[in-house]
Amino acid sequence: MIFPLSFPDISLWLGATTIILLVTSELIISLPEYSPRILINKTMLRAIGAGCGIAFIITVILRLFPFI
Amino acid sequence: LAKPKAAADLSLVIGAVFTIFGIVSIDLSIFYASQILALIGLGLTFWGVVFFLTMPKGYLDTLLLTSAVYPEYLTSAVYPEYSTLDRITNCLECEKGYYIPTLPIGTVVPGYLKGLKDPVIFVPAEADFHMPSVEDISQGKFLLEKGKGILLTPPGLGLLKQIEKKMKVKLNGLSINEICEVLPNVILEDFALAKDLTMTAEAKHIHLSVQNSVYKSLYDPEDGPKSARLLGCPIVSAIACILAQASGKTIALAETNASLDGSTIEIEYQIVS
Repeated sequence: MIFPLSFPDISLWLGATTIILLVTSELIISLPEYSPRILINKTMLRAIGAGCGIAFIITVILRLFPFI
Repeated sequence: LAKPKAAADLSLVIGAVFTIFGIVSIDLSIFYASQILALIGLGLTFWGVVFFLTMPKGYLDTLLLTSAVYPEYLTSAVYPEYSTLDRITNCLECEKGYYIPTLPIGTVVPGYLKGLKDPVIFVPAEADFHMPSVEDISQGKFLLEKGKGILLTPPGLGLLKQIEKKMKVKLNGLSINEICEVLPNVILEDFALAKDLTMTAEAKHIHLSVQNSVYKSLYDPEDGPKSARLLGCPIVSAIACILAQASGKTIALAETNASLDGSTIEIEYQIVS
């Protein structure tokens, strides 16, 4: 029994998720007319997006330089 | 519009369902060695956790309201100001405070009229309302000539500045109905100054209902300052300034009703032509 996703699969998934989160958070924050009506913690959403982005970059670096 | 607490409850339910199904899916993917199930499980678990983390901030902030320290600290900070206002207004036979509209943001005026940009309350010395002159307001006068009344700085000016900063849009560009829709969420979510706040506009009257405000002790029938009922607590005062700015007309606090413990405050604003 092993986890069926490989390292490149997880890297790709992280990249797609990062784009969705960052685009969503930027759209929400940059629309002050609608922003107060959307009841979510926008700062946290942006932080999660940034965190995923950093994780994605780390996976890319690890794939580019496997000796690290 | 959904209230912060209801939205937070919905976020909790969605987050829990996503996370549970995600973990089950990951388990099954390992058991059946299925990539599709693994991706579904990973996605569901991740978005479940995101739902937990991005719960409405206002709901979490209202936890502060349950602590006795936070409201008492805020009220004690403004109490001396209301005590001073009590001393001033006791000398007058006034029944209402009138919020004079300011000049629209961005208006270019000569130097001697710059005082018109600051929100101001007019407290007449008599029961009848006679609009103070533009010169008196622009010169920043306190006591008007011939004992007509006094001009005061609204107690909610500080909060008003914070709201303007937070909203980042020109408040004077919004209609009264738009303000009634947007402003309660800003006060509840970004400032957590009350547990619930609703505004409804009808012709020349705007009704405000505040539940469990942090300033509720100002409306105490025995110990509370009288000026709080006359001019409003900082929340009521800031909203009156915004309404005056939006309508371009004078706003009066027509009626103030508060429950004995102050948990429910009902305010009736009147647009004075």
